[in-house]
Amino acid sequence: MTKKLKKALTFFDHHVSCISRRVHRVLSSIPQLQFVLFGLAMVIVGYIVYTGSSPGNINVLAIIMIYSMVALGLNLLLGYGGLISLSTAPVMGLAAHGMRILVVGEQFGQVNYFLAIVIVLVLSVFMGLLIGLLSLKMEGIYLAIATLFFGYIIAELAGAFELFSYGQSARMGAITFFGDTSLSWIHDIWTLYLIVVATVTLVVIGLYNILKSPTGRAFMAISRSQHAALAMGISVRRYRFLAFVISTVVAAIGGILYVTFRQRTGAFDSRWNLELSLILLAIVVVGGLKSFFGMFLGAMIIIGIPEFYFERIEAFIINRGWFGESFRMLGFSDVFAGLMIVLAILFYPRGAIMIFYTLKAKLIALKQRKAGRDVSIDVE
Amino acid sequence: MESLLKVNDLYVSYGPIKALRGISIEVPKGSIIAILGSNGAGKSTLLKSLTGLIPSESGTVHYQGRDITKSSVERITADGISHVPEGREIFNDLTVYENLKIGAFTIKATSLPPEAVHASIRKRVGSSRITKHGDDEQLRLNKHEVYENNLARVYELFPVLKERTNQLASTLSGGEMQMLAIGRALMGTPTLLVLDEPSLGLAPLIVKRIFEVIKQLNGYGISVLLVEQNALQALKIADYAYVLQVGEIVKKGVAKVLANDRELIEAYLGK
Amino acid sequence: MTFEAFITTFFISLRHGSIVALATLGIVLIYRTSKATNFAQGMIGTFNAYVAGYLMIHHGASIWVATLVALITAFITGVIIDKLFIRPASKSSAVGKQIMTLGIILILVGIMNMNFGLIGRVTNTNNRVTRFIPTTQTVSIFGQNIPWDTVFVTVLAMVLMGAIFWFIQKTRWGLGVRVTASNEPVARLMGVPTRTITMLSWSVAAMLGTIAGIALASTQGGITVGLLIGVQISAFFAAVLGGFQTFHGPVIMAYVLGFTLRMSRYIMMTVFAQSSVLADALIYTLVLVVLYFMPYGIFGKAPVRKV
Repeated sequence: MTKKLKKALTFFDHHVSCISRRVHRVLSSIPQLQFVLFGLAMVIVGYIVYTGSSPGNINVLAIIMIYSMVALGLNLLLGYGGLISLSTAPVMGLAAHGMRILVVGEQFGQVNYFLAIVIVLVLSVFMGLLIGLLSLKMEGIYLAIATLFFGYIIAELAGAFELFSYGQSARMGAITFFGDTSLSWIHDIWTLYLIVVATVTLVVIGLYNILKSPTGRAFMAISRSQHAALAMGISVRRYRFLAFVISTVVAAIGGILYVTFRQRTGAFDSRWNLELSLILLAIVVVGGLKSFFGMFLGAMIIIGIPEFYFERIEAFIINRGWFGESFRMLGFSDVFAGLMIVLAILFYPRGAIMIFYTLKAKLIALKQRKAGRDVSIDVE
Repeated sequence: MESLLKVNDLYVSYGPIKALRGISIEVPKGSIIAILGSNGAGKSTLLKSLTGLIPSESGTVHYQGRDITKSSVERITADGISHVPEGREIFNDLTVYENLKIGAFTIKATSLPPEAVHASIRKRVGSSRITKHGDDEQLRLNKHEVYENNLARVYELFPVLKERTNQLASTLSGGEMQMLAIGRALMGTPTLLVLDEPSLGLAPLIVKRIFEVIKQLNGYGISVLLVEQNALQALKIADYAYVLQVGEIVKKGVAKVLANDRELIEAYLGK
Repeated sequence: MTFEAFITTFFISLRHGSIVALATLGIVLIYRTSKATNFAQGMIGTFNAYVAGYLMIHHGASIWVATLVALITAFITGVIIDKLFIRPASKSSAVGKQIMTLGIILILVGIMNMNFGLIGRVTNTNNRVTRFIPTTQTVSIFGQNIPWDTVFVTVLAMVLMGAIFWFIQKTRWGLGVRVTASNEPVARLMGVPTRTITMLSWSVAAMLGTIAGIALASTQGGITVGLLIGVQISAFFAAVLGGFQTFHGPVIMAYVLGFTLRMSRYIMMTVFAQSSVLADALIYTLVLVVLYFMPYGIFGKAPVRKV
């Protein structure tokens, strides 16, 4: 009986390993395929959620995808150059509000949705150049502070010129698309979700290709040692400049996706503030390891866990008889994100995804030890 | 002779790398002990581990009969071991005077043999505070007097520091910086002075002066533990020496004997 | 601008400069002793100012008592942050510690947002934080009635900072702070308890931030989570402009900046009839341009890098 079971198990094991080897071979020949597979998986997960008992959760999934993508852009700075940018959220906000201004057209007249995207992206390149310009002169913490100022100045200027005070509603899909019939196929949140998944997948593949190109190898060299990179003739400043431009554009794409999906811009000072920049940074720090899957894991931990879990369970809706009222512990997700950052820096400076790697290494060691024991038994 | 510092079977590792493997040395009271060896032999590691900068893996360090293996750096310094680190490590953005002043951070009221007290302080304090322990005379000084005494003695040893007292330490020459580093260590009234490569990167004339000063300090009753690559110079002033190689003591002996050991000089220390 | 209006604006600007300077000194103190750029300085101050605000509004405590309690909680906050977060991370890079202070911001914001019903109560404009000295008491300077409170905050800040500078420059422990800032391992070799000094730096910085927070809250509607964000950003500007390498540079620049910001707001509103926010943005842009050409500040030098 046990022998039969063992045989069945070996048979099963053999086939599984055959399949996994084959998948592995295909993936290693076209590594971009893994992101496509991931996108498909997200479509399936999204569909299950959308048709399930609480379809509202599809919002959270979309936001996690968008933030993972933006965090991957940030990773270019932090993971490869050790640089922090605190202007991410304002850049996203500017893109979101820019889309609204152009598409709704209260101030400067109405523009086609796709033309608006082009204009916003061009503007974001310009902004990336400005931030990059600072990075040519400054280093380390000074640079981080400068990016903070940059974001702050954007917010102040926007406030001063009352750019964003025309309301937040920005209906861009054909839900009501101001008569743009070319987009009439967008009629529900599910279509918008598919757009988000497709765009994120494409952008991630694009970033992956950049990292695998000579430019990416230069980033890699810089991340190992700036001095060695300099000695090899790599202009550290030039690539740092480039990294700022790329991450700014990715952030802008994130903003465009956000406003397209949510059909709202979000208030500039309460959504696109330092807190969000910090949350995005937390995703990078907690996710770590320079990969999109790391970012996704980070976003799941920082945004997903509080959204899916803490906000739902009764224990966190505390009844404070003292005031005679019930209060939700709204701040819990912030505390959680903050703690995750602190813990990640203390224990997993290369990101939470390293937990899997250590586990994997341990598993392999265990397997080897077991294999070793098997061999010795055979000898007996 | 009575032992001041006694290291027994000390092991230190940097991760997987074993830097020290079972080192045992002894510093008798009032002696100069030299530790010789080439680059990477573990000399600096030994000193850092003695003064608590690096934790040891196993083994013990006894100072004045007490176990100080697990004591903190601050505690060990306060107990009278002054460490002059490799490469001087003076505080560049402070003045010469402030550098000396911080060296006296841990001083306390104490009794000193009269010959260790600067003449000006002796005159000021007078003979009323002399106590006798058998044949030994001791002069009782309060904290402020100890500070003044140490400062006067440092200025006497290194007059150049007095000239430059209000200059930023970063403006000193290499030799002056080494003098300042030694002076700073002396400000703490050390019983044991630990010197890490004091001759490193200095002109021969200044090296000679530094070694003269070490000998002179020993004459005041300060025991010295000296780490040097400049073996011949070190053996000239030392009483006893240990030769370190890849974390182990490969040779030890009376300095005068080792100085004439041709094989040793050629094999371990170069010319 | 009339002379009278100038005098009033001058004192209000001086008061704001003092508040920024207090926050700046805290940031520099922490940077020098723990090599951490403390982004959480403003939030720590807000958190403890919030304690004071709560005591004043809901328990009728006088501002003096409330401030005293807040200072004690600030001291404890500093100790906790140093012991729990900063010291265990002493091996992390400067960027790592910086990210950690960003994490601390999130934790503090979260705790304040945990909405026990306090935020709403403290921010209620009917329940504003009282001033140290009521504005009804004024002092006449050049014929202008300046509230005693403005004078008090300015003088308090100057006396406090003067005392801290005296301590750092003239006392034995102050020298200990400076050697810790200069070279921490060697400072330990000298017998200086650098850990205690670092911990106390966090506590003192937290207390300075708290005083800044309470002083600012009393001129505004109440205490919100974003109370000190503007001050924090100005303080960073000042620290970068003055250069992190000295204690005095950033404080001088804090006064210059805080003063200029308030002055320019006034000029922008009265002379150009524009939004005061525009003045901030213009000044900050100007500073950014200056920093572009002097990346290590006006008093600072480029760090020497050992190769």
